[in-house]
Amino acid sequence: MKYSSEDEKLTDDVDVDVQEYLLSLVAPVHLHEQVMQKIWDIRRQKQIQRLAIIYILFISVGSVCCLALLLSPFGLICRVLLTLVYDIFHGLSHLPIPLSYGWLGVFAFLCAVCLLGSVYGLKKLLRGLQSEVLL
Amino acid sequence: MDFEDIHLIRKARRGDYEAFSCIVKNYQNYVYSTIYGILQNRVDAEDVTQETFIKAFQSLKKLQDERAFSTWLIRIAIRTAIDCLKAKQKWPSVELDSEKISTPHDPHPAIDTRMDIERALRELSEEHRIVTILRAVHELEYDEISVLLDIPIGTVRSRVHYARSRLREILKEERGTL
Repeated sequence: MKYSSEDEKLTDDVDVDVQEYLLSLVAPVHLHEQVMQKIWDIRRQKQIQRLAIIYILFISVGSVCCLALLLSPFGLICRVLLTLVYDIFHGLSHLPIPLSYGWLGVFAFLCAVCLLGSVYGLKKLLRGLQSEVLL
Repeated sequence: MDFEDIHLIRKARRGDYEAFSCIVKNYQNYVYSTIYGILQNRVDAEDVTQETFIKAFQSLKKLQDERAFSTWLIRIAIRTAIDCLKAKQKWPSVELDSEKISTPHDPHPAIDTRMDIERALRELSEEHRIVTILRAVHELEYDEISVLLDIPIGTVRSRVHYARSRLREILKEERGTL
């Protein structure tokens, strides 16, 4: 194909017509609203994901700490301290169940709450990721 | 690009939602007209415009120079429009006749000329339409178009040359029949 020097010009008469035509087009009025709504949804999903990650981290660390506390020699000290606190308020004679099992129960309950929280957080995270993929 | 726009872009980069909303308002016609020019379909143009702004929002932090925002945005728009065309070629859908008919934008005395141009652009193939828009509306250089479309510069030249002469022919025919 042969080119003339006219082709090197940035614009010619046809270009001007095309330019005028395209620049006269106006976007539909609802476009701005739709774009901002979608962006808002994306932001919200990202916030949920961020929260879910923090939640999972917090709960996981919490679970590990509880278990470590329960199993380590330091756990024994903690249990003794907690027992003392319990004793101060309730008195030795009013212990509902043997000490070690009682506090073991409390720790087990805390661990269960933490694990359930982790599962809930993970579920939220997965849902957030899924909706992002669908979007 | 004026100082106000640069200020808005800076604010939007810091996560200011309202600033980005203003950017969308300021640039929506610019983006929409370019995409409509390429796709020649109102519904697709709306979808691709939305996608363009979402992509821009998500990668705004990657923008190096705020002054190059409009060029950067139009690059995203064109790439998204090209992807849309490719997807349509892969998955062709039935197009309503109403979509083919010229979209009635605001009434204007030069409406006939606009209809002529719209019809003439529609006569061109997609590849010729894209180079025409990039050259005529965005005033990009051949090498810039070549990089953007990932085609040799010689191909860009030949497409621009062909598109111009074809447009001239079509417009001459249309205006001659009136």
